[in-house]
Amino acid sequence: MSDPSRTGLAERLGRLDRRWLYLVLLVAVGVSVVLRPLFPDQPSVFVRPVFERIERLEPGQSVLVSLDYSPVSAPEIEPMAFAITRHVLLRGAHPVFVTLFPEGPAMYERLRVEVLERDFPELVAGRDWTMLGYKAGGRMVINAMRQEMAAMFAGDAEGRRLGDLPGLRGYRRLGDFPLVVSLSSGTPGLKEWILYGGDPSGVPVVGGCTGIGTPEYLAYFPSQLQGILGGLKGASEYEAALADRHPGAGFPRRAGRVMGPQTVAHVVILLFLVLGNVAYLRRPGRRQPEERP
Amino acid sequence: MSTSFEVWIAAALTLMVFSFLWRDNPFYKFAEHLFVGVSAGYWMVLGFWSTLWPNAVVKLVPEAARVTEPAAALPDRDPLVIIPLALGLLMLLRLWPRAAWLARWPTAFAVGTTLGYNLVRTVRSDFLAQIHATVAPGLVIRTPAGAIDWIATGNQGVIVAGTACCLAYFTYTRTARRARGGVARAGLLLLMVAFGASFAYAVMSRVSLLISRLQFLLGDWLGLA
Amino acid sequence: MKRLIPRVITTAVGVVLIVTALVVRPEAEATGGPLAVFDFIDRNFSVWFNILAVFAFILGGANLLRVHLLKVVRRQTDWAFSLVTLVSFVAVLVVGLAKLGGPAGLEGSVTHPEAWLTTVFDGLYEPLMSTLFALLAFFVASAAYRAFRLRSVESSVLLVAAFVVLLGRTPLGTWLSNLLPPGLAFLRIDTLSMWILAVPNVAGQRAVLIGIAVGVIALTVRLLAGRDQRSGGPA
Repeated sequence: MSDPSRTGLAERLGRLDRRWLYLVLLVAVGVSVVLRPLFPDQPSVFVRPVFERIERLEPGQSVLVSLDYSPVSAPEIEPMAFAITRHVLLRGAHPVFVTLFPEGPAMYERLRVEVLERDFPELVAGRDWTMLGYKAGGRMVINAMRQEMAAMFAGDAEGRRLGDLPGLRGYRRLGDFPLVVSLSSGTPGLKEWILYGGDPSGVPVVGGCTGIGTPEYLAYFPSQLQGILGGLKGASEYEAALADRHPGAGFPRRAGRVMGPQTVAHVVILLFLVLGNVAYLRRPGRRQPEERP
Repeated sequence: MSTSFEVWIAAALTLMVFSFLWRDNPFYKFAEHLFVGVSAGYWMVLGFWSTLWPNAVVKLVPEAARVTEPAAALPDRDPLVIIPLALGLLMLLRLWPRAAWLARWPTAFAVGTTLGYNLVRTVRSDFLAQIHATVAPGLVIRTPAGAIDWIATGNQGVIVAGTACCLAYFTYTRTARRARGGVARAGLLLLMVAFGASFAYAVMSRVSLLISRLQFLLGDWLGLA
Repeated sequence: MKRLIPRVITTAVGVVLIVTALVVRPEAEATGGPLAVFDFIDRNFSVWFNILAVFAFILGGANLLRVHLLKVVRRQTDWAFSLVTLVSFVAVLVVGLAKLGGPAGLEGSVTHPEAWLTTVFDGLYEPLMSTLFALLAFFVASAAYRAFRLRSVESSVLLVAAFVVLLGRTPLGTWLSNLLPPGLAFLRIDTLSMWILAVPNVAGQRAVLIGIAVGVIALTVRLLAGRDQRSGGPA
């Protein structure tokens, strides 16, 4: 005999209106967003190779950084883009930005204002960093760059000729770069940089991607993809590594600040998983076959 | 609280979209339709100015470079861009039913290009390289001591066996399934672990986005965070 | 004829590019003679494809215009919302193509901070796009409550793996793991979550990639052989 009070609770849990779930999630995350706690972090085995690879860059070397994301994934990818750009510039290297997303130029504008001009006011566009801009075509843009950068880009996004850009002197094709960093939210992105860029031209590829893409991209690690920042956690780990190795720089830990609300949301969802299963396991007549949800 | 008109508009639109959580309503529909129009326009504009203009128009008519940059040195003319331009115009014939069949030609070119490149890249990166990455490491030697790292080697063994089990599960013929029943079942369980990890990371992604919107509403708009 | 020509184009282009990729050539600039044709193909076909991609955007926009215009003209259900789509589409197109608002007019960048297109992006495009996708967080939460059940061994394995990774990839997972005595370090939830990602997940994902690759090979051969209706594109 089942306990009526238990089955009653299980039934109520089973019939719970989804909007209560939404409200709980909204309130829990909202409160943690206001409080914004900061937790310590350290780079994982996936993140450390990206950091070390950039740490080993020689001053003056150019690194291709592909900003393949849009506002949908900016909360995860933008902190990576900010931290990696700061790191590249701290090493005295020259980031060459490109984007395969139509929204990429707008994402770059934010990077320019919030990182390049605010944190490195002495640096100059075109001389110390280059923005080649957006090109339509996705993987075929990478393919053209593998052959010759000039095949797709006559100059940078601000109209300077390719030959006048110091960051591209000696970098005629993709394979000439010591490193490609793809910050990717989907297609075209990290996978295309591996398949059409890294593997055929031999240029090492590292990258950052959204949480959704991370498990799939790990299949390419470490042979085809030398390191990967997976989702917000990866960004937070990179920021922590940067703060640890370059403590004087004093850059804000943007992703690290979001890990608090992120944790709260994870706990709420775990609670839903548990409660949902309690309702399922204690519902009356559980042994009978049930309809699919 | 923000005094920026742009922030207020963005906040209003954010709330309109969130209103869908209660139920479908005209505010949500308005936001949804606005997004469709704005995004289509935005993509077309960026495609035009970033690719069509410099890579096709300017290459065909170098003098056109002066429209966006009066002091520009004129690039070399590339008459061959007439080919993709012609194909592109044929593609637009899709809009006229009587000539729509001609739109198959540029589609065929795009399909052929994708297939040609994709086959080679996929075989190399997703087939051969994946098999190599799975079986090549073998015994993992801990440098610089030169001793065998038994944990890493064990993990490598799990990856090799796990990949084989999953591939056995993908073999759909009935006789093969029966013969490899236990192996295929192990593969299925392993795939479930992988999908569990994928679900967890999907949650992480979606939650990050929600946090960002709440940061905007509570911080940029209301000034609370 | 209407179907034959597209099939011939698909097969010819596909086969030529496969051969191009397989022909080992010296550095591009040093290539001369008969091999130069492969460099020509490799470079130009990609660029042509990219130009064609913009026409796909234009076709999409024109189609959108046609569908919603018809809806408005015929006063179909929700035609007023179609009007919103039409007006916003045309307005963004005009603002962007004319580079309105930017200090340098047509000579400036279309994404200049002062350009109206940037205002459209910041005020309309970004909040709409971000929030539409943020809704998925709520749906995922709902799915966690309603769909992820201990129904079978398989679903239980999935659930446990998700539980460990969800908890292990947060500071809470690290904090909880620190409560364990050193002898039980192998049970650390952060270490377990990393192991799941690096070992069973990699095995599963590699099998999926290899499986898809086999599918891609089969589909490509089928399409190049003209055995698939899609090779000529839809009617």
